[in-house]
Amino acid sequence: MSFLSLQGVSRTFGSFTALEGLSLEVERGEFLAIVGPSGCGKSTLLQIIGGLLAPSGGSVRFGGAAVSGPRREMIYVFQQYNRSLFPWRTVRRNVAFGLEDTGLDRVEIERKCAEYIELVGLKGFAEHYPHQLSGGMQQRVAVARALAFGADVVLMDEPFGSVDAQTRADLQDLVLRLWREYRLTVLFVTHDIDEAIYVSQKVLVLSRAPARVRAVLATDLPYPRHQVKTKETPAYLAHRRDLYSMVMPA
Amino acid sequence: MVLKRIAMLVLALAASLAAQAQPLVKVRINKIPIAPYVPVDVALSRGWFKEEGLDVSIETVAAGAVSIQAMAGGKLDVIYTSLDIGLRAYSRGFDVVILSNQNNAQAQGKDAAGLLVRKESGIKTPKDLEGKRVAVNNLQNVNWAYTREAILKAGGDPAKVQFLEVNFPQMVDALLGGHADAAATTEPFTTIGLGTGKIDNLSYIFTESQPGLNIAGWVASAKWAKENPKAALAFRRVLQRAMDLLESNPEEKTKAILQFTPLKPDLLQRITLDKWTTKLDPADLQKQLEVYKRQGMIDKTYDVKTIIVP
Amino acid sequence: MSGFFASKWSGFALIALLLAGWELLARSGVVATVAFPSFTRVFDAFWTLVSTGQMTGLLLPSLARLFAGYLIAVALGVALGVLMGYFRQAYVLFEPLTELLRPIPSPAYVPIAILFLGLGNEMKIFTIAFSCFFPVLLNTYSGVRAVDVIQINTARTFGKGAGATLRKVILPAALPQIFTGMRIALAIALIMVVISEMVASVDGIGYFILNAQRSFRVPDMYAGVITLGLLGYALNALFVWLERHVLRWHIDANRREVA
Repeated sequence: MSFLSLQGVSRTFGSFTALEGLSLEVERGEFLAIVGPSGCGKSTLLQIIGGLLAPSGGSVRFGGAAVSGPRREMIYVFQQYNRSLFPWRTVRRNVAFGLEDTGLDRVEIERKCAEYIELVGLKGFAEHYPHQLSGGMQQRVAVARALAFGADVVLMDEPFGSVDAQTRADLQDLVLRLWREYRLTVLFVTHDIDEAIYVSQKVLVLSRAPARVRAVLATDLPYPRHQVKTKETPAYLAHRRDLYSMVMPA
Repeated sequence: MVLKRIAMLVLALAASLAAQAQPLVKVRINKIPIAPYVPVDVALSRGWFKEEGLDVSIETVAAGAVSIQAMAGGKLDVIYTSLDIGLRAYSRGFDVVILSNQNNAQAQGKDAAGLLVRKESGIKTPKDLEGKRVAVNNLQNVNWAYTREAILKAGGDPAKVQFLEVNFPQMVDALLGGHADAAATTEPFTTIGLGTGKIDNLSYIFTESQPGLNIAGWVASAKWAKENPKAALAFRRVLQRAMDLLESNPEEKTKAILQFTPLKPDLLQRITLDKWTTKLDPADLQKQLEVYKRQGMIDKTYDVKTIIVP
Repeated sequence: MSGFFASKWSGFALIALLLAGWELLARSGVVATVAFPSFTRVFDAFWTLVSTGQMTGLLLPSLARLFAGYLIAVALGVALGVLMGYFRQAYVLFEPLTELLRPIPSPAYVPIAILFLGLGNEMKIFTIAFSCFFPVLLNTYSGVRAVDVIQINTARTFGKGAGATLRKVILPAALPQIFTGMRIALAIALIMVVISEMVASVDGIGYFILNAQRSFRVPDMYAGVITLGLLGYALNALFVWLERHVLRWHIDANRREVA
C-alpha cells in the first residue's frame, strides 16, 4: 500500500488552471523539497495534499484512503505566518493550540510547549504576543506550533522565508534532526535552491502554471548534513548546477 | 327678539369695522381635538376672531403640559389647557395669567371624569387602590390630584398608590388588559369603558370633591396679555359668543362636535359633556390651589385673583 | 502651555469654562429665567438628589432595566450573528427579516410593545433589548465573516472541529468587532431606558425627568438630564475599561501599526 500518492491531480480557479495532471508518489519517511517558478502553484499543491483544498480532478490518497479533508496525521505550515498565528494568544498558547483537547494533561502540554519554544530559539519569549515579535520570530513560533503538534507528515510552505541566515541554518538543522528522530515525512516548499538541496532527499521541480512535474532530482547526499561541509562537496555542487538549469526559465 | 338680533348685528358690525381699522393682532394658540374645544373651531370657521381684529392661528396640536413649555419659550401666546397647569406653573416662576374658563365639571350627578375599575377586580372604594396602579393622562395634573383626593376622602393613603401616565385613548385597553387597576378617564372614554359591561365607576372625581370645578380654560403668557390687553378681552368675548350659540342651540352643538371632533353620533348621544362658559370662579380656583398644596404639587398657595385677567 | 492642551485636563477645562458661561448667561437674565435656570440652581437640585439618597432610588430601577435588556440583546445578537456569519443558509434565511425590522425607529414599536407586554418592566426590557439587538447582530455578523480564512484553515489543519474552531478561533477573532457593536448598543440602551420610562413608568431616571417637567420643577429637569450625561459617561468608561482588559492584544497590536 502506498504511503502518499497523487494521481493526475489538477486544480482550476475559475478559468485559471494552476495544476494539471500531477502524479506523485511519496514514501513514508521521505524528505521531499518542492521548487518551481513563483506563482506556479506550489502552495496550492501542498494544500491539496494537506486536505485544505479539494482537487478539481484526480485524487490524493494517504495510506490507501482518499484525502477529503485535513487529517490528524498531517500538519500544514502556512507561508503567511503573520496571519496564521493567533494574535490573541501568547507565544506559549499559540504553540499549545494543537495540543489542546487531545487528551494530554496541562503539565504535559506546558512541557512540550516549553521544549519546542526553546528548540526554535525563542526561550524567554513565551509570554509575548505575536505583534510584539519580529517577522522572523513569528515564523519560528509557527514552526514550533506545527512541530509540537506531532503529526507524522509535515507540510511546510516556505517556512523560513523571513528569518535571517543564521536562524535559517539553525531551523533547517532542527527540522532535519526532528525528521530523523521522529521518522517524519516532510514535504518542503521553497524558492531557495540551496535550501532545497540541503534539506531534502529528493527535489520535485514544478513547471510554470498549469504546473506539472517537470523533473525529480534525487539529492543523494549523506546524512547528517553540515551547513558548510556538505555544501562544499562536488555532489552538492553538481546538484546545484542541475537544479538551477531546471528551474531557471528555459 | 328680532330687535335683539338687529342690535347684535349692528354691534358686531361696528366692532368689526373698528377692529379692521387697525392691523390684526396675532394670537398663536394650540388645539386639542376634544368636544370642549369645539367653540374655538366654530368661531374660527365663522371668522369671528377676524371680526374682532384677531389673527388666530393654531400652531400645534398638543395638550397643556407640553404647550405651556412652548409658551414659556415664546412660541405660543394663549393655550387651551387644564387650569391646574397654569396655576402650578405660576407658582414655579412661569410668567402666566389665566385669561378665560372653557369647561367645568358638573355640579352633581354624572360627570365626564370618572375613576374606572374592572368589575372583577374586587375594588369597591378608592381606598382599595392602595398598592395598586392607577392610570392618569398626566402625572401631577388635576386628574391626578383629584383622584388622590378621592382616595383621601375614602380613608386611603395616596402615597401607597402607583400612578402611571397613559394617554386617554389607551386607558380602557390598559384597564381591561390588566396593565392598570384603575383609570382616571374623561369622555368619551368614561362612557366607552362603562359600555363594555366589564367596568365600574368608583367616583366622579371632580363632581364629588368640588362640584362645578373649573377644569380647563385659557392660559396666556403674561407678557402677551400685558402688551395686548384689548386683544385678550376680545379673544374671550369671541369664545363666549361661540359658547352662547352652541349652548342655546343643541342641534348646532351636535353638528359642531361631529364636525370638529372624531366622535361618532351614537357615542355623542351617550356621553356626559362638561358645562361650557368663559366665566371663571376665583373661589373654585383658590380651592384648587389648596388641594394642590395638600398634594405636594406646589410649595405654597397665593391669591389666585392676582393672575386672573378680570 | 502647549503641554496643557495636549493633556486630558484641557478637556475638563473646556467643560468648566462652558459651565461658567452658563452661570453668567443665566444670571444676566438675557434668556428667560424660568426655562434656563442658573447652573448653581441646577447643581443644587442635583446635589439634593445625591445627598438625600434619592439618586440611588432613581438610578437602580433604570440600571436594572438597562442591563437586563442590554445583556439579552448581546446574548441573542452574538448568537444569531455567529450563526448568520458562519452558515450561509442561516444568513439567507434571516437577512431579509432583520433588514426589515432593523430600521424601525424605536418610538414606533413602543405602542405595540405596550399592547402585548403592558406598561411594566417587561415592556421596557423588551424595548431596550429590541433596539440593542441589531447593532450587536450586524457587527457580530460582520466580524465573523471577516475572520481570516487562513486562521480558519489553521484551525482545520490542527484537526479542530466546527465547535472548537468557533470557540477558539472565530469568536476571539471577531471579538473586536463584536465589542464595537456592544459599545454602540450600550449608548442605545441608555436612550431606550429613558424613552420607555417616559412613556409609562413609576420610577427610574426617565420617569423622574418627566415628572419634573409635569410639575414644572425646571432645575430638577436639568438635574435629571445632567445625571443622564454622567451616567452615560460612567457606563462608557466602564465599557472601555472592560474592553481594554479583554482586547488588550488587539489594542496594543493596532497601536503599534499606527506608530
